[in-house]
Amino acid sequence: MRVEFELNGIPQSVDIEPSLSLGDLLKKQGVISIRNGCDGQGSCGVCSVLIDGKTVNSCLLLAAQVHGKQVHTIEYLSHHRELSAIQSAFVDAGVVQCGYCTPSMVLATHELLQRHANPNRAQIKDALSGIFCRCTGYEQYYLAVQLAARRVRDPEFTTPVAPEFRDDLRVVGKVKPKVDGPRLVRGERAFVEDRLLPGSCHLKMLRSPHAHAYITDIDVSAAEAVPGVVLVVTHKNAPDVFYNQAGQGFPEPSPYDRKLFGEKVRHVGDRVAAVVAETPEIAEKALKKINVQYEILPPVLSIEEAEADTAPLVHNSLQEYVVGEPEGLDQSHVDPRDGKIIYQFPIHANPRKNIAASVSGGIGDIERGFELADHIFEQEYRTSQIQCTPVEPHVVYTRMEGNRLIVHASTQVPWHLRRIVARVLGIKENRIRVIKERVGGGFGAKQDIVLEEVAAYCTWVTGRPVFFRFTREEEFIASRTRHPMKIKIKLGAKKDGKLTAMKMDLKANTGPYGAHCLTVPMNGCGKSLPLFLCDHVLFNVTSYYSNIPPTGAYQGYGAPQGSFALQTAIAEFADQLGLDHLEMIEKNRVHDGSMLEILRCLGEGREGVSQAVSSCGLGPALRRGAELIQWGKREEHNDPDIQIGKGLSTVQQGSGLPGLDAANATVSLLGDGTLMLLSGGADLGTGLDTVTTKMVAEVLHVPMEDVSLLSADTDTTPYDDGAYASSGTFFSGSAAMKAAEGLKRKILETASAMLGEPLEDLFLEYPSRVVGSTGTLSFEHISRHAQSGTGRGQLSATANFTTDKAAFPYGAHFCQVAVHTKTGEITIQKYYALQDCGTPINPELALGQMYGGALKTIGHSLFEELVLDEHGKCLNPNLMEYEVPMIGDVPEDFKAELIETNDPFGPFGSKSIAEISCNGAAPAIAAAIHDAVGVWIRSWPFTAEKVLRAMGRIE
Amino acid sequence: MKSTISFHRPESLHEAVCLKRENGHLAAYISGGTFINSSDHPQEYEHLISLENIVSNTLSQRKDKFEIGANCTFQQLIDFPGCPQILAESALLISSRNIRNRATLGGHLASRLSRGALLPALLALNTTVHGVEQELSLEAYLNAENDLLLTQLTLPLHSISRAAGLSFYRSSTIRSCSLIVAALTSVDEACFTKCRIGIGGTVTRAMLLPQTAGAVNGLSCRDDMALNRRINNSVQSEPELQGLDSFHSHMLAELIFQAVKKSVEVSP
Repeated sequence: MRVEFELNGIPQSVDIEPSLSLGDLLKKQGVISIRNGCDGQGSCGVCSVLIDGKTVNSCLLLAAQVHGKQVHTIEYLSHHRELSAIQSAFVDAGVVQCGYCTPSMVLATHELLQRHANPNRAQIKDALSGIFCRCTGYEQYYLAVQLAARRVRDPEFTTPVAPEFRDDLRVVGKVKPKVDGPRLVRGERAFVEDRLLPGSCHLKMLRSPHAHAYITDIDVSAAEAVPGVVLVVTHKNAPDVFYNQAGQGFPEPSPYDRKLFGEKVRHVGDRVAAVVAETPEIAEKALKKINVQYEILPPVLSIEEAEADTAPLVHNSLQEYVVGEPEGLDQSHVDPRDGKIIYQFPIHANPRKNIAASVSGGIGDIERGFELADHIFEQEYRTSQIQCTPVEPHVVYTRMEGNRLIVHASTQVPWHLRRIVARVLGIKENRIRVIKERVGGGFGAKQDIVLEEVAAYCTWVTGRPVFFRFTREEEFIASRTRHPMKIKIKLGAKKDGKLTAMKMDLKANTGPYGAHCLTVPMNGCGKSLPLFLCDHVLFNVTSYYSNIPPTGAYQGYGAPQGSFALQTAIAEFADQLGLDHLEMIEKNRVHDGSMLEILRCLGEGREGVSQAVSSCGLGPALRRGAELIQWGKREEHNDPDIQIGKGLSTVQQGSGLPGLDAANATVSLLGDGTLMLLSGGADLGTGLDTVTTKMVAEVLHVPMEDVSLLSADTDTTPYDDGAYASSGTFFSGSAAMKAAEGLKRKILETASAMLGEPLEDLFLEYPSRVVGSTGTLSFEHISRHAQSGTGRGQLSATANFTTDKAAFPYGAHFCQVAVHTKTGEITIQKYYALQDCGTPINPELALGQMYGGALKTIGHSLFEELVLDEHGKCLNPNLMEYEVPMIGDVPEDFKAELIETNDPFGPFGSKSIAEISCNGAAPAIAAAIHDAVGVWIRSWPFTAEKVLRAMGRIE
Repeated sequence: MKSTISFHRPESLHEAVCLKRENGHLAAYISGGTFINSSDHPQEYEHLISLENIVSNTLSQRKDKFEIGANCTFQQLIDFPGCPQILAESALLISSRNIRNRATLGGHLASRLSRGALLPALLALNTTVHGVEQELSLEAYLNAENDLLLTQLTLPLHSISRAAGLSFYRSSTIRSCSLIVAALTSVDEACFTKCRIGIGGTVTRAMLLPQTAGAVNGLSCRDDMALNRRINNSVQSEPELQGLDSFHSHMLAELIFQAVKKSVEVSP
């Protein structure tokens, strides 16, 4: 049928299939900014377009429905490469993080400003209500939209969007446009899906309907016979290689306990067969023709089921140790269909008891600690399984270039990805190039290699380019989630609240495979216990295999769960002792210079070292938070059925992994005096590329726009462990800074020779010049000289950054909730996050990280939860039923504030910012609920039903 | 969506009805398309019959009734100056502006989603549904299976002018409400009269609760305890609500209480 419409002002007349969706039509017409986060459910809004001036989800429209209408996309808004008022406001306000939802947010704002030239908060909330953004926490959009509204009328209008820091520095600590902001806000090609070439194949996965089963027979002949099918892969023809999908530094503490395809399936959604075909429709059709017979086994779904004496074994496997095989390893009665587990080193696993890993440690004498106590408190807390829900699902595009495999990836760990793919394919790393594209949200989920190796294998075997993108359902059942945990806390204290003993027994449900099975649960202790100074501490961590959807890394990496348990326990204990919660925290908290002995026992599978706190903004954060929320003041609601309460929590994280992480960077001086930075750091939308660019600009006294950047490409940029463990600013930033310092020395050496002056008499001056007593040389002059036939060659420096020093960010979160005593409904009226990240390198982006982290975990605390039935099937594998926070869920008074400290080890005094933001919401909200209605809710999420039950209103 | 479909653009209501009749269950009317095109939609059709240019989307207030063209979108309804407050509030329970810009009231009713945000309010307001050559009460429409091509909704002005209260429970804004209650009341000498209660949401189908409404009638609007007790008892005895668990049963009673009380607070 024929459809006539206007696209971005240009008349179109197109013959279409009536079933064609509007999104597909627009792609055919060359529009690339239409994204997809919900597979046509209409819940994410990142496919927004304007139809006759109204924002709508293009996934919910057929192309036939736009006949006679005007359609506008983001491409309409920017003239050539100039940004519109809205686009520039979004970049300046710092709301462009991963950028996947940005074009839709811009369009919705455009519609709003047509209706209201000067919109208020309610109108902005309404306009953006249908668009899901997991990164930003939405709060800064209010400012961005109001800035845009002003800028529409006055293009020169500016307003402060964040505080600035460090008067002694030019770009570090200052609000500067994110380096990839303009590109993302224009909706340009940036993501993996934008790289697809004509003729690419599509991969679809047949997944297990059973949580625990052996594949007894699989017949793919009918699928292979479908015209257009290129390859079908099952356990029968896949590589017999064991590996782990965790993107961690090698040798990993995660066991190699899986193959590309196994004979045993261990969760609903586990891989059974992959079909590569010329089109997605052919691949889907072929999937339906695969005949699989299963021997169904009873599933293990909970920690209690996993640790039961009669529990089915999730991995009844042979065990191998690369080093340190324990004596007396029980290898009896294994089932060869289970495969094997290879441990790089001992992690105290016992798969014969479903134990994936375990560890214990402590300082002092715990029994003595409890003997010293006047009061003892003991309680158990539980956390549920939470999905990362990046708006861009996992996606990869693999292709051959000559004899080399090119992987276009949406990943946090390009180099780990290359190493793991090389292992699975049995090829050398030099045959693989990984290009990290813009990542549409990572949050830890993209620290693991959950689809890349399958596509890579298929491309390697067939030579065909392969595109593989998870559906939203696959994202829920086959990607990564936060580990459910059961945490027992036992505390001892003197009458005055001084802690004498702290004991933490943490049990984690690690799911079907052991990615991060040791380190996430360990971090639950490692990032919560050191917030308190106590001489007698003991922790026990056990991680259990089960048949729930896979778990793994998720922003906070175990700390949100550990923090919830320990911080809530402290609040409960304070209440029991009749002490003010804040007073109890002050009595026991960590300070600048405190020696953290507990860290000796908290290495990631290795021996740790005790560390002194090099900078700590916790005190100022607590003071500021208490002032903002008016701690101690009782609030009343007009409605007598609504009670108001206040709560707080303290938070801590790390800044990368000292002794484990490494980052590299290269900076080169170009002929005209500008700079090229090659950074291994993987920017997930968090602003790392802007951080590294600023480091170089600051050290070398050049304008930011004179520094261009290539990052996270295994062929063209130097090695970096990747973006995880809050390492970006500290490690990749330090590497860039060190490289810039190396180049600075070379520039000065060259200038010294040119000017005939001693090097120590020279200094750099903004912009881009060397000043001596006899004259000034521009970088261009120096560079042209160095590059000439008589020069020393192009000036360039590479640096590697490793350290054994830790830089801990600290903070305090405060909240005020209103609890309806008859319905149990909780409203967060106020939420304040106060955090110390040392020197904030990008203040506006740092605030965005804080808002994003806090709102994610407000969601975890109040409504997010993966729900499984008794067979392990996920009942809510979509954004709507899983319930992700939208702008309507943002607390009415939501503030993030940066507490400045100057860390001696971080680049320009900086520390990490993002992950720590996830640790405060649950315990602060739990404490506030108790303050309001006198009940403790000890498991996520804090539903109305749980509140009513705790209050005795329902049975 | 099936890969091969026919998309029809009829030029009259009659043509649309004929197309539907010819193709039976293989055909569906399409207006905004936000449900029928969504991946949540359980059914696939071979023929889609567009109502875009043949069904009105206008709203108007006449002498004795409020008329809403079935192609009116949720957002149009909200933006209409004469829209009854309870309808605007209900329409806003579709929290996504993107959806409200496109979803039509006719499509919403035809989808027969029990969770339909507007249904409790429309039921309480005694809405009449108009189709081609047929009109019937909304309650009757919801209770019957039919292929009626909806053209208009009408609400009696005497309903609209009564005091109305809306209450609902949802855990987050992206999710449809678990429970929605709309209550219409009149108060005579400080006592409730002519109470009408509509409920809906994801845990119960949209319906009127005549028993509970009857139980409220005659009670003093100042006696919260009696009102609460009467509603609780009545909800527990409603046969349609027997399957509700203790939480939702408790919530429903509380929400009915809130909606009834709210209607008094906003009494015109």
